[in-house]
Amino acid sequence: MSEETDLSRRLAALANETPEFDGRARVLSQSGATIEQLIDEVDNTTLATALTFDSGNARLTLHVAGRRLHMICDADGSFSDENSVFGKALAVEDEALRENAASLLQGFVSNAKLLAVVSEVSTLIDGDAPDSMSIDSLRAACGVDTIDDSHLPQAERMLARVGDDLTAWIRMNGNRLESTSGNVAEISGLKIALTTQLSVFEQNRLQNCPSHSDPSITCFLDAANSGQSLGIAIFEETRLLFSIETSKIALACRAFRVVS
Amino acid sequence: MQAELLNTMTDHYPECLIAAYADLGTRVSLLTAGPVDAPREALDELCAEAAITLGSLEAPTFGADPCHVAIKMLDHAVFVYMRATEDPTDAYLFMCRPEIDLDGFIKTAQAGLASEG
Repeated sequence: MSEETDLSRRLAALANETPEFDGRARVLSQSGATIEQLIDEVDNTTLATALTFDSGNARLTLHVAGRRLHMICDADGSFSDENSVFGKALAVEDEALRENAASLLQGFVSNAKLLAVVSEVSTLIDGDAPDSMSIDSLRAACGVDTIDDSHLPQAERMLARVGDDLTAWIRMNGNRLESTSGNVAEISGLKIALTTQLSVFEQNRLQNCPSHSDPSITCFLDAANSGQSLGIAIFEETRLLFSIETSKIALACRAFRVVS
Repeated sequence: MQAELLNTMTDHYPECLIAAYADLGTRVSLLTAGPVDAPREALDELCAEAAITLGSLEAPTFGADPCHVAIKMLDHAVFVYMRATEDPTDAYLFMCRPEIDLDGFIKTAQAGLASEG
């Protein structure tokens, strides 16, 4: 998002009427919730604050300072997460913890009947603590787009998000090879698969799977335990064939979901 | 044992709407679980797609090596196909909402498969 667009959005938000209060909480939505609403609250919080969100099903407290998410706590004991992120500092080096935190927030809003928030002073966090998530990293982990490139082709947009994480890729437009990038041996393998296997796969799917529709992404995981997986993303006439570390498959799927 | 894994996945992941255990050769689902009561036609198509995507051990669908786990994502759903450890002509098939924690889901399923073997 450009600075100008961001500023416009913030000014528009300030111009809105005061949100509804139900006597206890600020009601952000009376039917459902979006991850953007939750992230916007973090984005608008500078002082060390405990934001307790109520979804109608459960309550989560996000400890926020300096527009950064520091910690998540279970506000009412309604979660039973074995790999709990609760009460842990969201350290930069703990990518898995941060991804779990993002998944938790997405699950929280996806099941929400409503969204209300109460703001209180947080006594748990130090506003200057480095172990926290910035708005950009929170948006990225939650699959919320921060790049305004909706005018570009989907394959290009996907490459903008995940291209650096792919070991190799080739992009076809119809029968024309448009571009390639990455490890030469992997590109060679992708070209062999392209010429000998892709059309058979697509034809089989067309004949046997009437519900299938593109755009789609299909990943074939780490068949030889090499740590590398293969994938195909299909957007109209464009086919993006790629090789990726197996541990990054979810990243590719998230990028696909954002652009599709 | 297969039913146990299907139930584990649908219990732990509410985003998992359909879980099935299927014979890839005949493309028939043998067991199902999950909150969505899928019609037979939908299960048949799920089996067909899993068979096409995973391919056979002798003739991989994509790449040089046989595939044991495949994922397909559309804008409204994500499908996970996992070849069974005991009998690689069988597979576990899952249809989930796209917001599922994909990494966690696959790790949980693979742990379940490992204990199966």
